[in-house]
Amino acid sequence: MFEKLRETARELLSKGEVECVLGFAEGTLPMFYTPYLARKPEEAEKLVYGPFAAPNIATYLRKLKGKKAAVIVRGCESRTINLLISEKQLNRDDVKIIGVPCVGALDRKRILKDYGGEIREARIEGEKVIVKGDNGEKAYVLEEYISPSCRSCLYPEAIDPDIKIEGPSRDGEKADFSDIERIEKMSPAEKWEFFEKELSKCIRCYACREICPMCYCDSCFVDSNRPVWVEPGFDYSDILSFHLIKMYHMAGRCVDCGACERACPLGIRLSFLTRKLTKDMKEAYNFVSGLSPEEKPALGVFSPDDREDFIL
Amino acid sequence: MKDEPKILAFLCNWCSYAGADLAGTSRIQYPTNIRVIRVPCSGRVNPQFIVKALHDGLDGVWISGCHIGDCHYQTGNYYARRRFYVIKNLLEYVGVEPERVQFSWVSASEGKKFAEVARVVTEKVKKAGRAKRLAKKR
Repeated sequence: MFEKLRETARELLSKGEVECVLGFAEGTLPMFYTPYLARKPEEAEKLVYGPFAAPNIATYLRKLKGKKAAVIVRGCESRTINLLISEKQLNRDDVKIIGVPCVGALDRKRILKDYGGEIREARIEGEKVIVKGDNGEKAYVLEEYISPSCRSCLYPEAIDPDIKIEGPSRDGEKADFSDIERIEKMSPAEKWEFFEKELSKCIRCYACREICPMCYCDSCFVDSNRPVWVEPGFDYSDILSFHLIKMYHMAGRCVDCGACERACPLGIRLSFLTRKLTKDMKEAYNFVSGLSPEEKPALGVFSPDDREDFIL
Repeated sequence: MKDEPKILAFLCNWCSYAGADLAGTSRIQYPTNIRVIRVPCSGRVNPQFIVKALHDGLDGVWISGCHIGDCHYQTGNYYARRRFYVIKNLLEYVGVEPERVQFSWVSASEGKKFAEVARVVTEKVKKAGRAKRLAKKR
C-alpha cells in the first residue's frame, strides 16, 4: 500500500535532492502513527500514511527550518505549509511537498471508548478499522469514527504538491456545519451551559497549543505574568479566557486540521470552536486559510466595505 | 451605586476621546457608568483586552474610534473592524451576552453623539445585568 510513497522517498534521499523526508511511521501504540524523519534511503521503508496519523506534520516541519526536506502531506497539512510560508516561518524552496490521499484522521478516543478494554493491535482493512485486545477482535466502520474536522473538510488533497501519490481520497463534499449552526441558534444561556459542560473539563495542559503548527510564538500569552492574561487554577472564567484568546489568535490562520482536538487528553471537542472560526471567516470575508503561500491572513488585510452591522 | 454597572471604554485619542471631551465642555449629560482608557487608535485595542476586562469583572466593554476613512493612522480602524467582528462573534458563540461588548465610531466633533452612544451602551449593559458569566468570582 505504501510502496509508491516509499519508493519516491527512497529516490529523493539517494539522489540527495533532500536531506530528510518527514512523515509518519508505525508507533508504539495501536491506532497511532508517530512522526518520523527518514534521513537515509533505507529508512524510507518505515514511512506510512493514513487515518492513524493524528498530528499535523507541519508542526514538526517548522523545526527543520533551513534544511532541505521533503514532507508527506494531506490537504490540511499542505494548507498549513502555505500559511507558514506566508508568515515567513518556512522557505518554499527548502520544502518538497509530497501529497498523499487522505480519507480523514481517526477519532481514536471514540474507538477506545466504544471498545471498552485495552486495545493491543489495530489495522485498517478497506473501509474498516479492525482492533484486537481485551474484548476480542472487533471491526469499526472507519467513516463513522472520522474526526469532526475531517467531516467538514473541503480540501482533502494537497494543494500544489511537487509529487502526488494517487489513491482513494475523501470526497471534497460540501462542508457540513450543521452542528455549529445548531449552537449558534441557542440562547446565550444555553450556549453558556453547553460550552461550560464541554470546556470545564480542560486542565490546561496546553497539549492543544503544543501540537498546533500555527502556535509557534516564543512567548505565549498564557505564560506571561506581566500582565497575567489568564490565572492558574480551575476557575471556568480562566479556562474560557484561554480558549477565547487562543481561538482569536487562530482566526484566519486555522486550517481546521483537528490535531488539537485529537491531542486533547480529556477529549474536549475543540472543533466546536475551530470550525466556528472557519465558518465565520468564510461567511464574513470569503476567506479560506492556506490556499496559497502568497495569501495574507484574513486579519492582516482589510477591505473598505467589510461588514459593520455590529457597530452602533 | 452598588447595582450600577461598570463599563470600560477604550476611546481613540484622535476622535472618540476628543468627542468625549467636547461632550464635557459642552456640558452634555451622559451616564457615569463608563470608565475611560485613552488609546492611540482603535487598532491598538487587542481583543485580549476585551476578554481580560470581562474576566476581571467589568460589566461591559465599549470601544470607540474614528469613523471609517478618518483614522489618524489611515488604516487602523479598518483592521480593528475585522478583529472586533471576530471577537464579538466568538464571545456571543460561547454564551457571553451580546449586549456586553459594543463598538462605535464617534468623531471629535460629535460630542452629542458621544453622549447618545454612551447612553445606549449603558442601557444595553444594564439590560444584561451585572456580569456573572465570564467574570471571575473572587
